[in-house]
Amino acid sequence: MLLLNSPAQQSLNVALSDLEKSGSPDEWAFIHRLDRNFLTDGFLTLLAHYENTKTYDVGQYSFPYPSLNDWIMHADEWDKSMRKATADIDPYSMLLFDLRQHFEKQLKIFFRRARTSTGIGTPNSGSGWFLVFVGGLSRCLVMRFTWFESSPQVKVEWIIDEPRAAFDVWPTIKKFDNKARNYLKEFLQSGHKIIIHRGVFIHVDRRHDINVFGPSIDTLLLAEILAQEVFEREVQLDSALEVGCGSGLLTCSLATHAKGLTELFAIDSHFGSVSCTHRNLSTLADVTRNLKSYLLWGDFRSDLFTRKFDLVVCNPPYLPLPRHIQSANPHVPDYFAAVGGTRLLKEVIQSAPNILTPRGRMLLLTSSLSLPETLSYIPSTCEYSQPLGENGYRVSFEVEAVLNNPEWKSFLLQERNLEDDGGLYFHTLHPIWITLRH
Amino acid sequence: MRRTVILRFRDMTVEDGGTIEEHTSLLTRYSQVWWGWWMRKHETPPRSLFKELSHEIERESGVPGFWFDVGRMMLYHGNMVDIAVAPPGRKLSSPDPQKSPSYYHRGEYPAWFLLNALEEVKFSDYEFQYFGFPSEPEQEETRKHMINLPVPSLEQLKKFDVTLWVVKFQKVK
Repeated sequence: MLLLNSPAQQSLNVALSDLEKSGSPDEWAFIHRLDRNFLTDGFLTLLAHYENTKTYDVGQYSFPYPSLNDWIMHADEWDKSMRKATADIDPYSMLLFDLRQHFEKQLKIFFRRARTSTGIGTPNSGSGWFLVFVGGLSRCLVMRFTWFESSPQVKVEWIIDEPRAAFDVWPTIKKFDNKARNYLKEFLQSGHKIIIHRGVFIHVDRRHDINVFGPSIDTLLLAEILAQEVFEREVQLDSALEVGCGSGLLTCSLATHAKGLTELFAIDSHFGSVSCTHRNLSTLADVTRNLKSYLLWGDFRSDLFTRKFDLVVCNPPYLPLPRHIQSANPHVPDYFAAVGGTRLLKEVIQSAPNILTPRGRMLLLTSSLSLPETLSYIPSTCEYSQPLGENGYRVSFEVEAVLNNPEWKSFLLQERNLEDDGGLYFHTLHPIWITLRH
Repeated sequence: MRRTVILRFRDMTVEDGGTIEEHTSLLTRYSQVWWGWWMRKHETPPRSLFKELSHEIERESGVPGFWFDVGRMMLYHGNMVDIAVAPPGRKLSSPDPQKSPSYYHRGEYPAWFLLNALEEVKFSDYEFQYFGFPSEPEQEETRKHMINLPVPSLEQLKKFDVTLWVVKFQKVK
């Protein structure tokens, strides 16, 4: 669970404590009512709170489910019991009611907005799957949507605890019943890849968005850090740039939540990614009315921009290539370029003094496989910090381009400490903030 | 005389008669239809009344109710077999979109009534007496004198600025 104790999370925590003391869920409901862009993560507050207390007893009220997961999985039946006129409703149930209603409202708004731009369903016929990441990335809700006329219906089918990859369904699929297993196979074969995180809806059409990267767990990690360290703290930003926008999760997060943002740039060397980001951004039209956004197709170079930005984000390729692969392939194949090499990482880091405003910050991601060289790229005029400390965030390593290349894989295993855990591979992600040294 | 509720409605988002038409067509198709109760801003959902009605529904497999179209001054009689009520201060989306007219789908309402019958009736076929105005509890004192008085006409009923009346009724013909 990623919890960086932002003021917004602290407010929710105070609202929860308030409920325990006074029995009133009003403060909690008030925070959700103000959260029109669905930034707050109430699941995170509940998980953080009850992980500490190790109990679901709230004062005189007792949480009727053994865990939050259990409640989520049975929320439909629970909701029916809440709707009974004869039900005795305690304040804690009200809190859960507000959380669920806010969450469902968000999902329904997204599906209505996205239906025309993405083709994810026609009235009475469309259905499909999507993933929602909540609880500071500690829960991935595997959800199904169906359309009834123009009304989307949504239901949680499964929960993946502590997901270590964006589509980390296979390791847990054995726990599913046959029906759910068939549903999930359908999901993994579906043409639509939909991920929702912190009020942002990202759709990748596998049939048309060929070779569009993400959203991956890497990008989700950066999005969660942005949410907790920038958006929830209401950091004022005038301008922002994403280098390598992929399917657009970070660009759309900035467009939706960045306080005061007036200009947003995103660049990718792959035209399909620019197009996919544009489509996802266009579903936010009513949220981003006052924002000027510029999507650029081409290679990022440190001298590309003659202007500066308050925030630069980048999830670059960070996998070091063995020397002979580098030299033998001057024209590196596309799939290598998307994940391999540290050229872009170096270029972006070294451009920091040129593209950051005096108050500007750069957030980028690297891996335990390339951390030493990443830090060595940081110019002497800059300083860095690691929001997750030196422990980072351990995730699965499922880069097919590497796993299918014995030389590259062996290089990472032997020289870069790629972890081999009985045939499953892991590495640690290290987000890094870079600022100008004053 | 039996106690029940009369709910106010009007064809606001559909053509004249459309509200009833949409409900009855779903009723024909599914044998049941959800009716969303909208209320005015100054009203409060009468939770204890809904609770009593729910108990009655459980005991008697349904409770009769009336629906008053204040636009066309028409009265309908129906049978309620379930009630869904939002927690205090909250609203609910349709409990089952399939069994509710599509114009409701984006809305949220303080309560929903599941009906298994709905038909037009004549006001003159019934005798009604005022029994309460529970959605405006602060007006209770000023309306106290109305309790147990006959409801002489739909016109008088309409004058009360509420969307829910509690009445006693009996059929006269």
